[in-house]
Amino acid sequence: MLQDLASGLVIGLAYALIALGLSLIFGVLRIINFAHGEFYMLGGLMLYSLTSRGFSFFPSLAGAVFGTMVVAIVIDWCVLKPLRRSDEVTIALATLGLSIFLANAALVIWGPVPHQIPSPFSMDPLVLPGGVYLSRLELFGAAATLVIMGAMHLVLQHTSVGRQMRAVVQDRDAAAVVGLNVDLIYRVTFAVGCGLAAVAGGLLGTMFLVYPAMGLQAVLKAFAVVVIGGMGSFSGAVAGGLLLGLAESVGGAWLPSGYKDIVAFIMIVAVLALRPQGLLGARQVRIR
Amino acid sequence: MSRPLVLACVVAAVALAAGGALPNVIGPYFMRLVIFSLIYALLALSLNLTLGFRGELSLGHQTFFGVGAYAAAILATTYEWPLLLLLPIAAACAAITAFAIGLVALRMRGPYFAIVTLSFGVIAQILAVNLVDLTNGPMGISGIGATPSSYLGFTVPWRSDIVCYAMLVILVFLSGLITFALRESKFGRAWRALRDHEDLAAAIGIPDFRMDLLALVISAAMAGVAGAVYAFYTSVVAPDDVFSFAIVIAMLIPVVLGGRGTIVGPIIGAFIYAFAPEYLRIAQDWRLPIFGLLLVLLVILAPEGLVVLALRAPERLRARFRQGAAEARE
Amino acid sequence: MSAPATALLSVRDLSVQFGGLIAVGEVAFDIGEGEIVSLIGPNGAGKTTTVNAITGFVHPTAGSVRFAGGEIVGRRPEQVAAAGLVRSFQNAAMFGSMTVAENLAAGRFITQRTGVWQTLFRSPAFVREERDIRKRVDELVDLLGLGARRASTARDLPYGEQRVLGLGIALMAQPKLLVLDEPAAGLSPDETRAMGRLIRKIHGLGTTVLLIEHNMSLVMSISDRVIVLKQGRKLAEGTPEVVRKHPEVVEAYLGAEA
Repeated sequence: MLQDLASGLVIGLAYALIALGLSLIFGVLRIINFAHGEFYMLGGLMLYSLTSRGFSFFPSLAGAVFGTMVVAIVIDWCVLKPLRRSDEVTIALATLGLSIFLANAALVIWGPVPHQIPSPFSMDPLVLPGGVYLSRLELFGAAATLVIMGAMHLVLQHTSVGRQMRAVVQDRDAAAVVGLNVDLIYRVTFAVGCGLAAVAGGLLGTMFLVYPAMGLQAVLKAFAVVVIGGMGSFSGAVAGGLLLGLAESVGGAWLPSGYKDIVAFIMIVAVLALRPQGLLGARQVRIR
Repeated sequence: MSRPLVLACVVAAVALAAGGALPNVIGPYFMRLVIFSLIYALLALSLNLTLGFRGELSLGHQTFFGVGAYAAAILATTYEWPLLLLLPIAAACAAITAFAIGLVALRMRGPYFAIVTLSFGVIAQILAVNLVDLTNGPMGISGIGATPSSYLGFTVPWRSDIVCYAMLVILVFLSGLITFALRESKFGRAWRALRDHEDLAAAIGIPDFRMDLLALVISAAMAGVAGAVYAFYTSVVAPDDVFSFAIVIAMLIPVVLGGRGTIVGPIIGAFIYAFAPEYLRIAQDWRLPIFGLLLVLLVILAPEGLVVLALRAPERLRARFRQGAAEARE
Repeated sequence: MSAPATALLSVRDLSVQFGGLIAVGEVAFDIGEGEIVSLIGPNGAGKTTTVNAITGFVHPTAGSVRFAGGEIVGRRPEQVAAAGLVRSFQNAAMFGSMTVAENLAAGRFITQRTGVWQTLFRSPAFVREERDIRKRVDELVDLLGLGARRASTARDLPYGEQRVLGLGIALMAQPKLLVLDEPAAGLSPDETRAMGRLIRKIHGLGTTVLLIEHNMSLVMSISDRVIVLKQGRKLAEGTPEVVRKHPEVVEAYLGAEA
């Protein structure tokens, strides 16, 4: 039982990281990035490409994240910028199209066969109090996620960039009037949000496998987290991620084997039926 | 009867009449493309109701398609009921599913609604894979429609190209009629009002939840019928086929390509979606990425839809010509 | 002239609080059948919030609103509309993608009885209903002065005509009480005068009107009674002449048009 909890927390942290990016993008740009899972996938696949060419793990991870962020910037400039003032459905269709393009282009480039990224750590698991086994990679992943989330919090609360982002969240037109370069803030936010997804993709991709279709699963889990925790809420993404990770891990032990993935969607439906704004979300959501 | 209506009847009648000779003229390969175009057209008209009129992005229509397909498959293989009887049953099953999903999903708007409907699609797929007793699991159900039915001495082979083609022409025509009838009514006005200005619509008494549920249910019935015909035509339904996200793409592109909210647009869009890859000589692999890119480009450059643009082009050119002539005179 | 004994709309102790901010505090007033009442006050007085609370777009923190004999607090906007209380909106609110005729026809929604099956099969009841609506639209389009624009797409209309269209849509819903939120905002003096004539014509046909307005000349020329709000509370109430001379009202409007 404790083992399930520990594994669930590790996965949950990774979910939280993906969801954080999604939530950040929603909070600042006010768009739901349906292609978010594809940036997660790009992080993982780029990491694979770099490590399989002989580069060592950590520089490759940095390179993969950087590469993904470059793609994100290009996409924001070419696709999202022309649509800045468009309606929700139009933008949703655009990110959906991007998702389809990226996922299937990756399929052509990398092929459908899943790949394994070799872990930079030794394979001996660590034994924690309570008899819980965690691999060094899992521990690193959890620690890295916590560090990144902490850093994001500091950036948002205490740096000029973070303050500008929060200003745009509050009122985009007022921010423009005051002289903030709203377009630049959007681009930076989008890149950072996708970068967070890429980190998660690299970490989880090393723990499991990387393959082009991994994005769909990831984005669905990310949606579940933000719905559970509340869209646009930082702490909601963290809380929601942990909750989902735990629920899947514990639920997976109880449910028949094929049903583990259903936990996330049942939770989405349940939350939206009972408390649509999520656990920690503001009542922005228009409820009927 | 209005002119467009007469034209539609003529087109449908001609299409039906040609059905007998068509397979010999264009060959079985292109016949298959035509039939798939018609199935996509049904799906596109179905999505058009929620996306085009009401403006709600549903990413869950594959659920209704799949439910219709499985309902037809299960009843056909268990009781050997013919397709004709199964069409209304598939429609009803899909409609009931939509009602249930709508009660939950329609409490949210916009992207949340899209996410919930997508989730239900995934749940449906997982259920179809795991409820092996009912659905035969990941292998799916095969051998649908193997037995032809006899009516008044005529045997109707349900799986034949001609029969499926004829049924689909009639179904697409009926769906177009239904869409038109709804559009020019208080329901069509209510949906478009909700799409344009939700608060104003509420202020004049339009009940958003009920209208959205209605759109979802009717649209699901159409998708369910498409699923039933698909089941009979391909004779196999498997979870990865009928509940897959590829169906969503197959619905979205025709609607966005053809023009959201129009009736002819999605039908033409469906044909383009089915036939274009043939004529563009694209490697099979690159088809899907290009469709994704196409969706993005369409949304940015031609949000009204190409077909609508093409139909309006002559009058826009005429207007610009007149303007140019007027300026030249001065 | 004080409010008649049996009021069409009766607001008591209406309060709307957002966090610590009291937007509307214990506002009470009546509107009798057949009156034109104006709700005025400086910016931020809580006029629109009051109307939002009455029409169900915002949940009041406290208070009661009785309309046509029933309590309507807590009802959804479409239910309030179905009871006969219809409002318009401040900015040019209309259904942009539809034609003027379709916009007006949409307003008739609450009164239509035909169901889906009748619509699909074009039953006689359906045909009759649509014909009646078309007739009514034709009449109203002439009354509103939009006859030439009948087939134009609503979003292509100039601003002034859009505001008139907004009024028309609300009117098609056959309201017992019509609430107009700043109908003259953004209109030229000529258009404002035309709007005033239009409101008086509508009133003459039997509709009770509650008007939120900043434009004092419009308010003073057509209202039976005026209610003044300031910082969420009722400051004064009475005929236009009485209110115009009220010392606190004058002070509240210091610097504004009188």
